[in-house]
Amino acid sequence: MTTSYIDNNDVKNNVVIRDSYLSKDEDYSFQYLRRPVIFTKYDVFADLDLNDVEFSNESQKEFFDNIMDDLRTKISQLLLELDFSQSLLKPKVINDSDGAVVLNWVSSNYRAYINIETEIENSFFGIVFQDQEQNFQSVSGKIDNQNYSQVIGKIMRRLLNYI
Amino acid sequence: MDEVRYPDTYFRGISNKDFVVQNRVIAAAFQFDEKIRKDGFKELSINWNDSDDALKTILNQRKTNGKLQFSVGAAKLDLNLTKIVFSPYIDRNEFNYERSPIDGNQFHGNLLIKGTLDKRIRLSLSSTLAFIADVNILYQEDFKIED
Repeated sequence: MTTSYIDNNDVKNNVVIRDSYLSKDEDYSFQYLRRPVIFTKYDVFADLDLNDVEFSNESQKEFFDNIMDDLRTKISQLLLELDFSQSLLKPKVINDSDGAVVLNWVSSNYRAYINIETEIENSFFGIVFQDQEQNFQSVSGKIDNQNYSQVIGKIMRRLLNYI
Repeated sequence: MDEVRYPDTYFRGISNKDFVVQNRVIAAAFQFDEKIRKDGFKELSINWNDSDDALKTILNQRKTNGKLQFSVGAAKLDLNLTKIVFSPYIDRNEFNYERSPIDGNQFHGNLLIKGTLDKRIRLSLSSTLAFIADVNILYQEDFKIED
């Protein structure tokens, strides 16, 4: 017989997982930097393997391409801004069981992902990380054709802060 | 009623090499079943680490075609950390766990999440589990780790 049990008495309440949309008051502006070139050494997409990734429809592929273009631009700008003192880990792209295309960044400090769903309006992103007190935190929200550039800027900035 | 006891750690089998990136397990290895049970929960199969045989059992589990079910290996997770991190979900009865022995695997159990949670929350939970596991992966002997 399947039994279910959980002991709430020994669960501490000092850890919070938050689900929230990105705050809108942060500076996403990168307008002063206009050199969207990533030098080969820093091009985390140079050997990105998409051979096994399947796109369900044209709009999903188009949205993926837009996101990749924006990622390259943002990364090149951030690298210039940070004087190449940082480097981003390479992302991994896979399909999930629903046909979504998922961009993953994985490190000892965070897990970040952008889920590009077959219906673009259902797409979302998320970051799971540990704060300075080692508490686990999460941030997630919608990503679509209107906000993707802002969202990507926020994600990249946050990831670089955790390297 | 007898209290069900649990060990400090549990294993989650890894069936696909794409579920390990830079030697770290990713959320895709922790996808909950689509099916919603009568009690409203979705399952994620695990093996409770009751003894050395628990790991052996999961690593030797085979598909009907005779191939290894978990060709990469198994991630090892800490139960207490899981309970701490998921405490808000536990408090809302949206996360739970259980023993659920099956034929040939007395160590089998499930992590459970409420079926009403949408995909965005489910993936957040799966990513958190991957983060908890991180590099704690017990690989199959013949699995070649890629850089």
